[in-house]
Amino acid sequence: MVRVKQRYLLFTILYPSGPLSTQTQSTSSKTPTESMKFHSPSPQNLTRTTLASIIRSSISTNFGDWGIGQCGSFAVKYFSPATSTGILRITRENYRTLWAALTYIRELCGQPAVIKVVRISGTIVKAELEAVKLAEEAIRRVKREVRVAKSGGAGGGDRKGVAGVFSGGKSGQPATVVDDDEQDQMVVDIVDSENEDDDDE
Amino acid sequence: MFYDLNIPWTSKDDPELARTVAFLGELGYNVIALNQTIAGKIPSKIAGIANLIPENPFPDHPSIRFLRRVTIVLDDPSQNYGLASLSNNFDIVAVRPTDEKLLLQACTSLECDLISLDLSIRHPYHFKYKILGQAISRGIRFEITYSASVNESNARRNLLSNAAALIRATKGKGIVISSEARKAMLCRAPFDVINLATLWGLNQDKGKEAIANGPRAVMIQAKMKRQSFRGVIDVVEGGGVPKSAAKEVAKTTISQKAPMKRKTEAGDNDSTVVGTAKDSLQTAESAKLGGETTLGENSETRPMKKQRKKAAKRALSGDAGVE
Amino acid sequence: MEIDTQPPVAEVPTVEKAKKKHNEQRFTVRKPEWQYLHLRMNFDPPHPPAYTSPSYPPDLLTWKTHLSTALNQFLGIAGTAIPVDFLHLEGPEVWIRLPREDSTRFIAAIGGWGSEVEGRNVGFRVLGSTEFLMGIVGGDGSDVFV
Repeated sequence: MVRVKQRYLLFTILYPSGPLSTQTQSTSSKTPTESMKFHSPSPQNLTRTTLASIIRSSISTNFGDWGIGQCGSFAVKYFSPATSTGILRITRENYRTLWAALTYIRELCGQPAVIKVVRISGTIVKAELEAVKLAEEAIRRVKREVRVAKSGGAGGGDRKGVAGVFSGGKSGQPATVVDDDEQDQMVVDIVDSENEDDDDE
Repeated sequence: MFYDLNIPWTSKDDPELARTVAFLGELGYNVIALNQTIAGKIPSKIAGIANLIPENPFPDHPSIRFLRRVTIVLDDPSQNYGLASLSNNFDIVAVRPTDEKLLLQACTSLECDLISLDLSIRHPYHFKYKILGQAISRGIRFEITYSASVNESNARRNLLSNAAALIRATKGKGIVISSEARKAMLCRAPFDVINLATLWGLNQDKGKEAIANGPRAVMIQAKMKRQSFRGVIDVVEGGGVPKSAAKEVAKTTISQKAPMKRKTEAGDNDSTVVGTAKDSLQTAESAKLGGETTLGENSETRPMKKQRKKAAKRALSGDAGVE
Repeated sequence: MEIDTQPPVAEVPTVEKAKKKHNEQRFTVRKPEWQYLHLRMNFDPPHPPAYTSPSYPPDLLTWKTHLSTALNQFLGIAGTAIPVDFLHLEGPEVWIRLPREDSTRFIAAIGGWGSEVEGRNVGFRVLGSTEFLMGIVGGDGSDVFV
């Protein structure tokens, strides 16, 4: 039997108009660091299912019934609103159609958004590794900028903003400084939830 | 290196423009051309252009290189007067023909670097290789702008059919893709754009070329046309030649081959003549046409030898006519 | 063009010589640019013969609307982006031209479409599809230019 070949699309959602309004309130209206300007947590109501239905409607308007028939069988394997990162699965022949549908999405939950496909891979493991790398890279960037800001005397306001970015949009949780342990926890979280997805395949 | 050759210039203090630039940097673009559109008559003096783009508009983005581009909306065949003078003040000169006749003129004779067609509207004519091919052989490229198609579904429909027709007519050669985004949210990441291009009929390699090497060639060609000798030889600073050798090279070669205006710069000991082989290959075609006319305008700056040569040539051809 | 500078020869060329001079040229059109289609709009129940009304036979606008509805349903915006040129309209039939690469999708889209107008089911039928115009005009082609 011939194996069905799949493609895994790792994507991040960028918010070109900056952090969400609710977020800015919770982080005491401080702007996040420069590099994280467009990376903010996704709205609370953006879940895997709502994301899937938004993508499906984009396929429908752009590629019609044929598009839905060809690549309506995609699956959102993983989505983290905290880092606005996710993984989609689609049959290999149709990944470009799905990708184009993602590119044509203009807004998510009323917020202008740009979906950027970061990596295409044939196995979900590679996509996961890339996601972890991406998150680590982001944390490193923020840490560096915070250090620069601190030494420049601009101070802790930025730190607080950064914490807001990574606190995952849980509005009840106080914004705290992300320390090293928490970072590891986050990375592990990503891997864990992906493994779960793998199991039900 | 990824290029976006079309970001409409508004003003230095426009927050949306600043955000768009920052967002493009985040998406992974390295070179951005700020575009100024001129409709109607081309001002004879640079001072006649309102709201000119400053030299370095966004110093807080050190990783991005900014180019200045001008787009002239052509709606009258007699409008090309003064087109060449613009190239002194802009890095890229583009034209936007509004009908088939002007497109033909732009492809065959106009001194420009880029032809930018408005692909978000329906055109009452078909693109033909016979016309477009002339521009391609002169080294002029065609621009497809995608941001209107992200914004609105009617524009998306027209862009899809126009871009496909343009790519069919040019056989996928000489295409440059840029955004023309007035808002940050209308920009897309380079690889997302390449994927869109595969939908229009370019393959992955040609799609990548349309956003990386293609725009680079446009940029370099424009530069070569403007400041090099016949678009082939340019004097660049540096190089690995030892100082003493450089002195000799500067003495012998430059004094013979480079035009006068270059010669003054070449007096510097560190400078040396480098024939950029790759660039000259790219520009060789256009140099035949472009070099002749651009240099023809400032004939005073040309070395005497050239003028004498030309006179001799004329005499020769005159003789041939008698024969 | 060759111009013969030799003075004319009086003798008549033999059959072999004439054969040698004959040069066969072959030319294959591998990728024609267009695909030509001949379509008919079907009505069910059918109109009586010689029936005319403001809505029958369908005019150009009706054709365009129906085709774009069919394309939009099946192929979305990508489908309506297919540039269709109308060459000729006659009764409930139409001759159109579209880029060859799009023809498969186009035929699939309109073939599966149906709607109801004024109590009649409307659908399309592809009567002919060819890469060369002569293939669908039939006869000597004169009926296209009526």
